[in-house]
Amino acid sequence: MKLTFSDAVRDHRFSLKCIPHFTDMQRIKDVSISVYPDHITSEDTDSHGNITLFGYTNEYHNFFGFEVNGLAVTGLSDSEKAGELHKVGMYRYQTGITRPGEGIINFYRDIDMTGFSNESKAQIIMEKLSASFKYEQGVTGMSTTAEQAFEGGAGVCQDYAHIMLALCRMEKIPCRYVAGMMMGEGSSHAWVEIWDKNRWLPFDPTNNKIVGDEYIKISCGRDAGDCLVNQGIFIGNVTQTQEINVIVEEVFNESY
Amino acid sequence: MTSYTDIFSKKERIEDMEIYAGAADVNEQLARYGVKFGIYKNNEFREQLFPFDMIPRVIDKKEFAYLEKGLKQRVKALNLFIEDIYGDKKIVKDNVVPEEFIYAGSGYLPQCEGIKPPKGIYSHISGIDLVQAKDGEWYILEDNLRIPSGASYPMMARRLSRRSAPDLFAGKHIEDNRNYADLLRRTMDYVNTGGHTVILTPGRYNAAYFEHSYLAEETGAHLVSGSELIVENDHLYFIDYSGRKERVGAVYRRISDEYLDPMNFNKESVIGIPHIFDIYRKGNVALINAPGNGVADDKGIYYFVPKMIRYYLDEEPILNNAPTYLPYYEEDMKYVMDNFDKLVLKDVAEAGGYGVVFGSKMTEDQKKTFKETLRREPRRFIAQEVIDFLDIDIMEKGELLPRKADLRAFVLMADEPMVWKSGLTRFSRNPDSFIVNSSQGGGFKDTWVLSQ
Repeated sequence: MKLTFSDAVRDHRFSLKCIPHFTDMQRIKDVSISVYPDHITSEDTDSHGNITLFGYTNEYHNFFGFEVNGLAVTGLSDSEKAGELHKVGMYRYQTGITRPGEGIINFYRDIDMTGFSNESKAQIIMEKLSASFKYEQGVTGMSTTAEQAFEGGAGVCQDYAHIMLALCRMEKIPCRYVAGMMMGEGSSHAWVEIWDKNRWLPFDPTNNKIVGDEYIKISCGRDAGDCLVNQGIFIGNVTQTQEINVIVEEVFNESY
Repeated sequence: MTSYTDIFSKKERIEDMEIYAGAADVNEQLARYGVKFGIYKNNEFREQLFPFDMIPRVIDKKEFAYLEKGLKQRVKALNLFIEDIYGDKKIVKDNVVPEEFIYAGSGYLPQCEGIKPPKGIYSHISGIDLVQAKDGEWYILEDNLRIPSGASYPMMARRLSRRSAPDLFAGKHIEDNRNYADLLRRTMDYVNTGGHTVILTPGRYNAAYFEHSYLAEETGAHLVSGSELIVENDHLYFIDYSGRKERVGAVYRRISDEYLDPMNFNKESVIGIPHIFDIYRKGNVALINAPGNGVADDKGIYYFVPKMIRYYLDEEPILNNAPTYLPYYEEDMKYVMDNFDKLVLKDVAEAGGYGVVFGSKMTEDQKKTFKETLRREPRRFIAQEVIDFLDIDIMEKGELLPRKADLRAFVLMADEPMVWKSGLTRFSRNPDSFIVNSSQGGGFKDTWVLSQ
């Protein structure tokens, strides 16, 4: 990831959630990270279990960025272990971004899910959503809400995920937003995990499929706001552009 | 039940009256010392004096001992509740508190999940509001576990009254309330993780700026603003005027959770300290009070506090809540609808005396609209029986007049809970009003706790 500022900035404080963490589904090895310009960083785990790097750069700089390399061993399981229902309550309530409006409420009203398990309900929601929402870049932004995206009829993976979270939460299913990567080259990806019988089951509504071993999870939270790859504050009156490049290649090696 | 009139003889009272009349006006001195509070009205900041009434509220020794016991019990249970909510959530599992009262409220902060603050203390300074009814019974009205303010006013008033009217205190056995600073210092030192203790103020445009500076002076802590604190290498530092950095181990922060750290809460905050919350999570600094305490002091949760006392301590509550109904429960909704006129209704999202309405004072139209809102959003309100407050006397233009008053008691938690033997007595200056909040024009009194 690289940020380019139109003029020099200073006293830059940043928090990064860019390192995939160990889960039941994936093991992470040989991680190396470089953040530039010179900096001091600390590491911690946030309340969702995500690895957070935080630090600061005091001197003037025109660029800020980081590079993470590593190896992920995936396909270790089809789900993650989860806490009991009373422990995942925070994922059961709408956030400012997922809170449904008239459009999503009407859509929800027409989906019949009575009697199904959470897993089957999520499957139904994903299929219905996939059939009525179109993938299109450039029509939504970082702060677009689930309702706004839904009303527009098209969006990207983040929007699919937010709408699916809104619908699952209306059904009282605990569910969380996942930021991660998929096989190939390009940008990051997003999907959801839903809670069913003390497991987190991953669904990818953008591709209308169950998440498999071609996915690497980086972070999760109540919505995209909990999973920002980079957030920062600095002193400077500038415009900034962000470039993200994600490369996921397959390495076959049974010994991993 | 005790009051000033019960405790002191008529002769004593007449003598005191003469003192009140003859003493230099303490209010004038309070003004000179800058004992003020700020208020925002129509987007404009104004500083107001907090009118002081010389006649103290008097609580006798035995009665205060009872309050003390009840307050300690309540604050212990509230601390256990906060710990449980950000930890195991047993009280939710056991269905004592319904989940939505926690997660759908604004007080719960997901960022605090799993954090154990230094020494396991969440509410270091609790301001518990009580009222006494005409039958002498005390009731808890509200718990304030975020940044309860107000202790400095009776401290200052006591000091000035002693100076301008020493005779008033002669021969009376009153607990000294000027030890609040010692209790506070002990509380801050107990959780300090190594380094200085500072009081963090948002600045002079805050409602309680006088208090921040006064408490800093009295406790010997540095009074600092956000720009004087910096996080480096997992620790917090205070930068002094020469640019030297000194480690900070405890921050009595008088800025609210949302503005505390722009990297973790409100990103727009310019008064906060970036990353202070990250190092707090790591146990490298104590934040007083702990972020996230709002989960335990909103008006919806208030209803459950007696249940918490039974649940966590296996004790019966010593001090009672005002009889409260939760329209969330069908049975309570029915009661509220049937007895609307005798109840007071409170919006759980509001504070400072706002969002409080009396059923009896509404017009038929207002009642209809309100009842509809209540049916639509039952979780948004609580309803309480109107308590017939015991009036206490204030002196206005040489005359004694009865007024409604409450008492904010301060409970400080160090290695043990400590109740300050005084408190802030606030009264309504309007004879028809029950609302005593300073932001709504109320005044205050000293609170005397008798030592014999």
